[in-house]
Amino acid sequence: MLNSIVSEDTSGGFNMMRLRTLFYLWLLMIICMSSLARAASIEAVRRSVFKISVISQPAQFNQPWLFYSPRSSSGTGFYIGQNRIITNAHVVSNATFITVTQDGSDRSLEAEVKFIAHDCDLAILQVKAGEALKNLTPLELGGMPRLRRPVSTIGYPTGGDQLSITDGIVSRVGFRRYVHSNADNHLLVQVDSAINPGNSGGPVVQAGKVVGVAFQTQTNAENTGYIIPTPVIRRFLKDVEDNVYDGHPLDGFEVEENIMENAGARAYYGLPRDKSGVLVTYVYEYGPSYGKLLPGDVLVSVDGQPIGIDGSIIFHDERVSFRVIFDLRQMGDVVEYGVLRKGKMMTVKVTAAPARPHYSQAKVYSVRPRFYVYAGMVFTALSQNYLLNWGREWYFRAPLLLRFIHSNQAFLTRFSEARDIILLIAKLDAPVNSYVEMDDDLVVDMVDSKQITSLDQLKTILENPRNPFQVIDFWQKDTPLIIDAKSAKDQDKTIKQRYRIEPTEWLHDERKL
Amino acid sequence: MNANYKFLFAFLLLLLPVDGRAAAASATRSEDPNSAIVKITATVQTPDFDSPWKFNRSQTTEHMGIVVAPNRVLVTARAVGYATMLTLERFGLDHKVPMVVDTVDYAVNLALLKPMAETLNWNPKPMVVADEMDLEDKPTLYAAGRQRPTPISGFVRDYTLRQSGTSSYSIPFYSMEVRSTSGLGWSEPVILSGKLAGIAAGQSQNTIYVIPPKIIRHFLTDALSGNYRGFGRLGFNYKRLVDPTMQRYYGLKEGQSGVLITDVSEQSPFWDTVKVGDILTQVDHTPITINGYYKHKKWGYVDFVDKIVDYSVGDDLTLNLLRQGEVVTVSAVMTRYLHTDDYIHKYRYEDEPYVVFGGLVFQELSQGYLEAWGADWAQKAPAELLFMWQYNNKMKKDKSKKVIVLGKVLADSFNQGYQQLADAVVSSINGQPVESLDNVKEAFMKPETSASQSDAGGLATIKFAWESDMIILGYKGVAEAHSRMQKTYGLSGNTHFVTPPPAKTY
Repeated sequence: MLNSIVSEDTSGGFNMMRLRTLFYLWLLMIICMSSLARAASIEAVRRSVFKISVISQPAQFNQPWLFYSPRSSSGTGFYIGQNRIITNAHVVSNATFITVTQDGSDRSLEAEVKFIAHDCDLAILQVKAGEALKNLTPLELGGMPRLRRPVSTIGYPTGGDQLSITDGIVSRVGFRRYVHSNADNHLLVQVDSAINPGNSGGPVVQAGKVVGVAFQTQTNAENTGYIIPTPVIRRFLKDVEDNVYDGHPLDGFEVEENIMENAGARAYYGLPRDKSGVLVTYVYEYGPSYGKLLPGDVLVSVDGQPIGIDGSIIFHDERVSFRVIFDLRQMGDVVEYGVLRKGKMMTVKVTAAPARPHYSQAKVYSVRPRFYVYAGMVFTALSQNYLLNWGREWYFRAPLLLRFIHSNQAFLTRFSEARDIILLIAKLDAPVNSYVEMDDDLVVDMVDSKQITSLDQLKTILENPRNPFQVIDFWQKDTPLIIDAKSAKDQDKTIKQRYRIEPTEWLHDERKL
Repeated sequence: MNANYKFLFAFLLLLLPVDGRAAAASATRSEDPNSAIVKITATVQTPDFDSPWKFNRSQTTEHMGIVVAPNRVLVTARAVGYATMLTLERFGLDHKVPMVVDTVDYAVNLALLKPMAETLNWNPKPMVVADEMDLEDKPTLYAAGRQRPTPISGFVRDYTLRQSGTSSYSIPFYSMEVRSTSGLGWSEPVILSGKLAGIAAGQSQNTIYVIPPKIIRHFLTDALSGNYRGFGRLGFNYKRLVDPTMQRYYGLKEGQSGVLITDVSEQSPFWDTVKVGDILTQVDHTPITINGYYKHKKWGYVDFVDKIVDYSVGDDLTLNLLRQGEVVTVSAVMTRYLHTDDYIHKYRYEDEPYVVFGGLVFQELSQGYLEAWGADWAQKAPAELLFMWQYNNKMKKDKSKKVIVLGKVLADSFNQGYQQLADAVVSSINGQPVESLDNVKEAFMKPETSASQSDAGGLATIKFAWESDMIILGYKGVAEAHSRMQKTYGLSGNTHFVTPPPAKTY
């Protein structure tokens, strides 16, 4: 029939050729418009994106009175209003000097950290000369990034000085480890565009709005980048409304997933066929769930959402660990768990509280390690930072006893309540200690038969000897270290001077998130 | 006599082998049918610690052996560990003689072989054990050549205590320096002046470690007596008392010397008489220096543990101690140390035990188990297991106590939900503490019951030492699961399944 139309009337009126031409023109217009639209939306946001230049100086955890030489690094940040630039915590960690340069500007402005959240790798900077940011358009936060939709990452990746925009697709949503603190899991979104160092802290934009902050790359995989999605950013911004960062709440219990696949376990706990859930296996004493949830409870729902056998819930159309709900709460919020306890269904309410375990497994920043030196013996507290002296693969290469305690301390009664897990890490040679044999696994257990749980206590005991000899026992080691109390006292100051130890100790409570 | 005959007579006299070295040389040349040095080939099958019902592919290892008594051949214990077949070959002859183990002591890494068929069909002159060697002695080590043993010369440069190689027991070794150690350390005899001055049992760089004559003599005398008693062990950990501060603290006065006892093993014959903090000053009236040495007649200062290997099981040993300044004398009868006495031993060298329940494979933690993580197992194996092996490995009074691990779960519908658990130290089963594979079997025989679970046929609850995860399994269907697994995983009928009797009262 079309053919007949064409052959019937070739002189004007409805014409197939013209139809085809019109179609192609229309297609061309759509393409131009969408890329123009995208370009236009990028144009609108780019002026709110900053390059951040940082000079940083981390402390040396194995020579704890020293810092490393200053080093320079850079990242990206963007304006969110009220004189605030948001970026990643790791961009500005251990910073001694920060400057920010607006896209299109020729000058850099000094900035300082207003809030920093190491547990979720976010930070807010404020420019010292406030006026310069007045004519900026704050970037708007959007919703959760949509899977399989395109996003643009804007920033200053290494390999050039200009603003760069990379496009990619949102590929995966999960509840995964944030490597900055390397101890906590939060909601995490994966994109398939290249995110390089330098991009960190930059906005990830979808339909003109920010849906995430670019921040991690997977070292083994190519074309994999990770972004902090909006729910985590919003939680952070809400948290600091009261001018104090409280941090992500810890739910404080362990669960066993997949156990309800087993018919025997189901029968034992009385979980009906049509229900699913995970088994609570351990509740930490420091946590908000202690006394509320019990080992042996089966969690079937969280805030009304059913929990799957693998511990997942449906979160924005994707299956993610049920823990994401509690993780996105503020301190003081109440979370309701549907619990099957001894065959009966009940509701348990847990209030998010700023409770922390005694020992933090997290990497720390902008703090000095706690340490104490006496008679040339250098004592410090165990931390992930100390273990990192053995490199990226410290979980294999660091001394066995130390990495074992680091991973299991919650279950080791000797250390579960300790303020410091004290290590003797070095000896500054002097006559009083010349026969002391050093090792890489010296964990202080007792001094003069008294169990030591903090460096402060160690200092008090060592500096106030009751006997002519002081005996230090190490955990899981047979041989004690004997010190001549008088020689130690006499030589202590001289040793510190000779080795230029300054400060001679650091016992401040500077645990930050 | 005619002058020519005299000359001929004198000439013939000169041809008679006179000096010992020539005699020794002829004893070692394979053309001499009396050669006491032989080749021992072992077919070895080590257990697959990952799947302990299986063995790894069999391998052939070659060692040297020495005839030390009629129909008795000496080798290192390492040669016979996990061996399914042992064969003797005389150099230059193709005849293979099947051998079996007469006596083996993995503590000191020595074994005595005998022919499967009562006697060897030839009678070489047995090698005699020499006296102790000296620093700079130049013995000859005989390695495996094709037609004859290859002599390799070296010199003795040290005498030190080391772990035997097949257990955690320490024995003295000579360090013998040779030009190239490649391929050596496999039971080669070390001969000095025609006598057996040692047997090679390991190497490192240019050094061959040689088990000395006194260990060989002690082992042989015992083995040939028909009643092997074995070597005793002190069971102490000690620290050298060179630190003047430590000396003053522990009460060691001027002119006194000894070492500080820092641990006494539950299996030590002195476990109830020697205390941590005592200073050990004399072993059998031989004084010990602050370095832990005693004066050896040939070697000067040697680790005092060298004296302990002189004692046999059943011998009395007296120790002098200083306890807070007071002299204390204690005596005890030496008791046997077996290579499996350690809480976490190296290898059993026999069939590896295990128990399977519903696909859950329970095994003993041992160094062999840890070595499944490859060459850098000491870093890559799970930290909890390495921690137990390195820091929680003290011997227990009850030698049957071991660390039991759930090695893995053989996936089957029966154990769904638990299939990711592996390498976890078991603390209890059905509420009963687990300290041996026998405990595992006994515990499974006593299922826990629960009023609401009668159709599950009773329940097994398994808890772990370093994991908060636990396992709850119904007994119902376990026997069928075992049959399925035999097919799916190719487990033989000999697999050690624990199958409780069919439910009657559960």
